[in-house]
Amino acid sequence: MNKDTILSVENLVVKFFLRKSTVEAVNGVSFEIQKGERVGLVGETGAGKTTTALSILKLVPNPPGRITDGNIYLNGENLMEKSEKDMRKIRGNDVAMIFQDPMTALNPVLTVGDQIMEVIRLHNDLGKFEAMDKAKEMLELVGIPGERYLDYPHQFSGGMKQRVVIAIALACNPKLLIADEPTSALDVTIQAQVLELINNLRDKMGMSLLLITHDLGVVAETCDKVMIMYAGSIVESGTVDKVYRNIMHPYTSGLFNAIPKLHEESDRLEPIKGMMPDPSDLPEGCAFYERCPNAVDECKTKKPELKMVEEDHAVACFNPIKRGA
Amino acid sequence: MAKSKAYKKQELGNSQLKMTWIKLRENKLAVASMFILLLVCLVAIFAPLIAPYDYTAQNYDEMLMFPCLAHPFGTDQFGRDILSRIIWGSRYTLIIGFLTMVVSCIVGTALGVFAAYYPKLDNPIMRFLDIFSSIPDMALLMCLVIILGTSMTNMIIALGIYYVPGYARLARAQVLTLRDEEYVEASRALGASDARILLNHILPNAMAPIIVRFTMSTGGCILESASLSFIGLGIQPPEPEWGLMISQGKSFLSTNWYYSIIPGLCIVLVSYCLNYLGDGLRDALDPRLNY
Amino acid sequence: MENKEIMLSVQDLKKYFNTPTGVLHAVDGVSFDIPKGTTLGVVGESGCGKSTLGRTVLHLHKMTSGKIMFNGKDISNINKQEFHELRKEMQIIFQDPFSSIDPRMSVKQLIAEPLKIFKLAKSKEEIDKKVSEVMDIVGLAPRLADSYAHELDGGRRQRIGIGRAIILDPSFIVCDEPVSALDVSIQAQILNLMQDLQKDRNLTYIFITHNLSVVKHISDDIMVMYLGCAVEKATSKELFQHQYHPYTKALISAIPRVNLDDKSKRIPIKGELVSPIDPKDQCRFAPRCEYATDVCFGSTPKLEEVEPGHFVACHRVRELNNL
Repeated sequence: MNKDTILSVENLVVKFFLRKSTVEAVNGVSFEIQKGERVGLVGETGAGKTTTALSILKLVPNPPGRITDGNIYLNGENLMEKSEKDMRKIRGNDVAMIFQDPMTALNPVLTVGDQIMEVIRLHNDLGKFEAMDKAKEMLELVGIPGERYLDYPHQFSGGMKQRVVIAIALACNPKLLIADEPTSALDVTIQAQVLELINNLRDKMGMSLLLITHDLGVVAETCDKVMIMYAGSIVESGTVDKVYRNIMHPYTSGLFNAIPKLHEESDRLEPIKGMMPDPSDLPEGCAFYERCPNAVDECKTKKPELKMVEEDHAVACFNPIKRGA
Repeated sequence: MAKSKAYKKQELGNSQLKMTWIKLRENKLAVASMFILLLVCLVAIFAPLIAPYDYTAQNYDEMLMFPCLAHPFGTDQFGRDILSRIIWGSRYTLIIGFLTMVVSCIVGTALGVFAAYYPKLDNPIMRFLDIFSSIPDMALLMCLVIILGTSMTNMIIALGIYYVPGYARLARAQVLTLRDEEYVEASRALGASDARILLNHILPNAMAPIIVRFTMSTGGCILESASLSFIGLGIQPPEPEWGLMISQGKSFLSTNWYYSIIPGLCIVLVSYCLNYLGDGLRDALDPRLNY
Repeated sequence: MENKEIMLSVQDLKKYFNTPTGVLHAVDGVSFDIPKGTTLGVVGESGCGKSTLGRTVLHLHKMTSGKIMFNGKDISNINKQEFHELRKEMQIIFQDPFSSIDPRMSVKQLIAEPLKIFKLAKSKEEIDKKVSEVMDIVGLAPRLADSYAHELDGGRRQRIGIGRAIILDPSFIVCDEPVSALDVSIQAQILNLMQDLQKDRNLTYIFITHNLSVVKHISDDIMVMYLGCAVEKATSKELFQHQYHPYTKALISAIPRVNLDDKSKRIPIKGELVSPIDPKDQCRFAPRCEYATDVCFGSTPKLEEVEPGHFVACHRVRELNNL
């Protein structure tokens, strides 16, 4: 870990203890985010992306969820040793999070200005008027005229609401912004606007970004690094350039093949056969074994570790796809 | 997110009814309440076999006896065995509570469903029902009983009318949200008739809060009927209705406390059990807690 | 394609809703023909009226005006009874496999429901037989017959939705965003299934979606909608090669690219969808269009054929594209 590392997650394990079963949502995830870096976390529903993000803020719903193992370092400080009171200071201040649905993320009875101000005053010792000025400034920053400060959320459209949510998240100059599917509820043209805004603001404010999405295209356009998650583990990670040009894990390759291509003709899609294993009953070996075209005997009994295969590119697979094959 | 996906092969085929039972079983208080209520039902059904004495048999040798071996709950001013009267009285309590709820639940739910499903009927039905809910409950009940005349049937009718608006409002609110559910539209697209949609799709999904209200209000209804009997507008002596027994015992409260207190405790026990059962059902029927 | 029999023909279909703030023009004069056995893709952003269009065609909404011909028969004004019979022929698959399925019914009951509605099966055995046939076709394992929707994942639920739609052996299906709620790997499975069904049964689809890659993959023809109007219509291949309407251009350029080498420029559009309540007689896209001039604010453009089989509704289409 060097001094530019903002966030370092080591061997994170999160489990949900349910009525009859234990869901292993995150199984030993480790990664680092450097200062100013944009990292995409990609996976399908139930892969454990959101749980990973919530763990960083220690917001995993408890019960039934619990972080059972691992350490999370933010700026070198171990968050697992922080009290709830300390965490409250960190949330919104050092680390901010944007959620998927902008429609429900804002309180309908408060003006958007008040909602931005609330965060500012929570973390800064500012007077009412100073905070108000700062809130207006934030609105302008995300491309909303400052005079709409006194408007209520229902007066904004979906894309505008997501802008307000971003303004709230960035109000305290966080060092790390976690965006959980920030554009999934938006139309493509609006999505393009919001992604561009997030990108511009990152350049301007220099924060790091952890972008959670299921859309490989969004990552390609927004991120420097990418991590592919499957059944609670990272199966492939590296720089976007390395991973996208040299896909090595059969799951990543399956994901790419399943997307209908815009500029190629194809009669049939190639879906990944079968479905994700039940997270409360994960197999002993590789979780992808049952669906994997490349599976070898070893995969059935041993769980592959994430190993570096080239510079800035790691894969957790015993029989990865060879280049040119 | 992760947890919503979890299912196991061997757990397939659990209908919501079965899930409800599995979850209800875990609530100890609700299970205990259900057990007690079942016991009360059995007592009511087999009253002639269980009751040690005839509940009307007067025995002037044993007037106002304190609880003893021969009369575990004591006797009243006519020497009647209070235990036997309590046992026989459970029949009234259960019949009144249950019948009233069945009547008001069916009528209220039907009115609410029609009001919500056919917007033209909404205002006429709901405003008419508002008239009943705008009158204080005891005053309304007393008026109705006086107009209809004092008898058990009339008391059930009066209580039934009193409980109708609540059910109607609840059912209406449920149907209003369910009416726009996509699966309702899906079956409309399949060509299903209104009747089929209402009976197969809307009603079963609207039932959960209605069932909860049913159990919860039964307790309230037993209390109301006891109050009516207490003020002389319900069951008439010499029938052993619990509320009536409290009323009769009140003049002996300072000397023979058990006379009023025991039927009072019975009422409290039954309505508590119904409430706990309702509480448990509410949690068990909530699909959001389905993990 | 011209020689093919027309399955569904819609002419100048309008659907208005009365709202407290004015008349909402959800679908405002849309026309199209779908040849038998082909797929018409309808693309547009939320609020453009694409779902309303699909539902109005199926008489789930009563149309305001226009004409719908199904198999050569005018079905615009037929009564409920007559349409009830037609529902056997015209089915719909819904977007959200979670909310479009009654949580209190088992898989078997759900798939059998259409048979019961139309009283098509004489005995229980016949229903069971038909249901297991359909379950086999849509790829649901027989052991799932007695399970309930809350126990299944999105992909399997959507298979139930498809099973319900095909059990009556319809010839025409409206697919309202059938894969939008699914993950890509499952989405590909469902799309393949729908293509197989189309081939085997010569089905005709209207495929409504906001996902341009999906619509390109599955459609023969594509219609792009904006605020209740069709702005561009062409074959799928043609549309993705040449877009003439400024909105279509922006829409296609806004899709995030997976291919790192694809450096095609993104055409931004300013602002957001305005409300379709009491729209003025002007090009609906004009307020957001960078090429808009006075003529665009003067009248609503009509769809015109700028190239064989390629229709565009834009006043300036010829001058902007040098046609």
